[in-house]
Amino acid sequence: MDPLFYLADTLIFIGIFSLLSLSLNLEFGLTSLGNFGKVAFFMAGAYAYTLLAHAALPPYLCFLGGALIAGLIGLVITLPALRLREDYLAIVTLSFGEILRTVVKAEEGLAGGVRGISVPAVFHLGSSRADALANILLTLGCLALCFLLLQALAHSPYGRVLRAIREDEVAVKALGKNPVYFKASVLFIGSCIAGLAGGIFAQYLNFIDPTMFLPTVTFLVWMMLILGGAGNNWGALLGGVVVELMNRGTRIMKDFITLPVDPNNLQFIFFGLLVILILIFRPQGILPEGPVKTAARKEAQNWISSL
Amino acid sequence: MVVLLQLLLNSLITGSIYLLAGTGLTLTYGLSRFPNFAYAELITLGGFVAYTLLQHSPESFWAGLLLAFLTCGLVSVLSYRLVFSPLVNRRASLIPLMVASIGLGYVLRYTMGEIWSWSDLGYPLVWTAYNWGGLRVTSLWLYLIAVALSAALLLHLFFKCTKVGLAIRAIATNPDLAQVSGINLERVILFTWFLGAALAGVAGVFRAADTQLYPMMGWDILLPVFAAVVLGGIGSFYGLIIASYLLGLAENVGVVFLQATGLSTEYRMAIAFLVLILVLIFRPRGLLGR
Amino acid sequence: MDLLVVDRVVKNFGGLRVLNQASLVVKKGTVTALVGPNGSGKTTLFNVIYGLTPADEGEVYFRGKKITRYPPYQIYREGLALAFQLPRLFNQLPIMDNLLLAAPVNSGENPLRALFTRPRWQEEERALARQAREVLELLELTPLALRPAGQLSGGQRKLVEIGRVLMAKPEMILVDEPAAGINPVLARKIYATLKKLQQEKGLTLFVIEHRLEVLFDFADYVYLMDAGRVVLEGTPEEVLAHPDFYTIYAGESRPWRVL
Repeated sequence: MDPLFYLADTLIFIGIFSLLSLSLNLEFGLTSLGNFGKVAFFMAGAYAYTLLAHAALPPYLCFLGGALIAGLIGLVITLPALRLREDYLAIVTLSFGEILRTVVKAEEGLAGGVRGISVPAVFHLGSSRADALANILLTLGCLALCFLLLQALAHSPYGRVLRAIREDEVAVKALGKNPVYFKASVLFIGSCIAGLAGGIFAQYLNFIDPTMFLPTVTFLVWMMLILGGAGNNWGALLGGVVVELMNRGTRIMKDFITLPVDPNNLQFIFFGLLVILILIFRPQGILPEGPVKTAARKEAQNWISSL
Repeated sequence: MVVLLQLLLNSLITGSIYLLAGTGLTLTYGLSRFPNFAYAELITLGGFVAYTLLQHSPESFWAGLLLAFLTCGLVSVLSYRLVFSPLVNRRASLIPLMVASIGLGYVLRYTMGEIWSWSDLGYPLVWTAYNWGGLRVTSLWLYLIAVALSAALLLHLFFKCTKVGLAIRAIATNPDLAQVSGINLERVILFTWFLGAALAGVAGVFRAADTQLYPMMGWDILLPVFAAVVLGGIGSFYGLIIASYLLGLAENVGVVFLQATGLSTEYRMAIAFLVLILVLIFRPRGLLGR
Repeated sequence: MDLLVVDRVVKNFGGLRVLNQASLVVKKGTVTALVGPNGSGKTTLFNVIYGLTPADEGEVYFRGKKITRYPPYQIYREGLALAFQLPRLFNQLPIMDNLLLAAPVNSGENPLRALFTRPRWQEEERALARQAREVLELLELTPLALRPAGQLSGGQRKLVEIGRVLMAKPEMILVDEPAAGINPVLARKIYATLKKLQQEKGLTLFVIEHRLEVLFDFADYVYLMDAGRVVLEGTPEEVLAHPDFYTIYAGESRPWRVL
């Protein structure tokens, strides 16, 4: 196989998963929202993109629409749980992941049901190598844009309020801010980004079906963030790269080494253990969280150094 | 009339599974303050260990139940000691505990996949079927209902009459009581983790005997079990009893409704989700929760 | 002018009536103190006023507006701020950020503005930082500005809690035992500052205080609570001179009223 295609595949999957892990960082890392249904919003974006593309909308509108639809679904589904304790949100999102897959499977007329549905490609540049390059650029461009956006949010007064919510919601309320508003906005933005990742995924593969959206996707995203470092966008990115490479590593290993056990089983046993061990021994992950950097912090650094 | 009776019977069967599977979940959720998602795999594990025993001696269904009971209880206690207790001691907050439970679930699920394969298995058992004036009943269903109800009765006596039982119920619905009750909290927690998971294992055996056995079996009923736990009120055993059978009824009525309207019966699971959302909107503390 | 009016507020916890038709009035521009034995319902009354605990009966008015069912964040926007008895700081965040979070206006807290009007909110942040510095100077915490709040001592935490309320620039503040756990010199200073704010900026203070000696110097008006209701009121001189004051204050009067 042309190594370019393998490189493209690797980079694009790293990009897609990093987008998911970055979106989870906004939700869990900064705001302590336990979204255990990440795959549902990813799936919503993928299917929304596909349906819009079949309606012959221009690609940029499909991406935008897919992201917005996923964002709105994220908002509506989580709203009942937002004023309650954080575990209710976890149960609702986890359950929704199962439900959305059930709906897509059952409604054959909507998007092909279990048979799946084809997705029109965006790029027709004449050669598949050019298409692959364009896809890399598209994915990494979206990743870079979202990263900058999320980094700007994390280091702004908004990001500061999110971290405050993570620590003490009652105190945030007492300081004149409505935590529900902030949490809802976070889930909207997070789901939009997950939806965008879904759109890129569908577009790149040219085909999607419900088996691509199993809860394992959610677990992998959590693993990326926890390994990389929750609360740190760089950590989320690093986790995305490392876990996706590990994923590929096992697949390659399968071809070269014969093990007495199924490598797929072994991989997930290992992943599960790894998550537990990180949580016990290095809960902050590889890259720990840093402070919120705004002009106010610079001012304070100036006075302190002049003392 | 017979249709109605069949509906009630089916609801009783569904509800009994939820009750057995949810008891440990609601009690440990109440005691340790986090939902243990690895309960899905404990249910499945029960199904698998009984399967292995039945492979060797197909006559020993009840021994299989006992084996599932003991194995799942033991695995649960071990997991508490090795995974959750260190996290709790490090003052891990709620979400990392949940993530760890999902991680543990993966370890268990893929270990089971390795040992027993990923294909659908069935128990080598044949159940006596009765036809009571059009009402379809099998001996397995009767056993299931009997086991669930007697477990509920025994637990009721245990909660009412023993000091440990009273403590579990008090702390599960009100964690602030842990300090004042003057009992060994750690031992109470371990006991509850054992008993709860043991019952989940029993639920797994019945589920596997009634349908099919595969590593995702427990995961596939986790959502309705959670819905029952939340509907009953987290930590409330009596709430769970009512909620399990109510949810069983809702599902079976829902299936009839789905069939009547030509919708896919795959939506059966969506009924539990709907119940979950409605509870969160209208009565987040559940039927009998604090 | 009556700034805050509490009208026959009732609060039950289980079978315990913690507030039993408590009524009082805080006049604009005064320092009003709330005293009473432990468990007389002072902190609960603050929580009810601030919307943290819903009242079972009765009403609370602020500037003539009924705020009884308001959530805390809305009450804060009306110009009323609360300093908690046990400081609720954001432990992982620097003291600086704890103070900045209390600012009444910070446009960068809106996600869209955070992204698209960066120069504007950065300017605001600089202004707020200067404001925070004044507060820190006052509390003698300037060198610690970038320390995580979790590393502070108990007394310092209390200071930051009060500092946060000062950042809010409200019309009235509720302070639950401002001087508890702080050395006497600093406690006097805090009170002097609060008094200065009252005199110069017309700030209204409603303070729960245990130490009676500070009442004479600072309070204009005193309410004495017992068993969930206001039993005595007047200027500090009047109240302290009342024959029943010390019996009630020592908590030897009626026990809890059980429903």
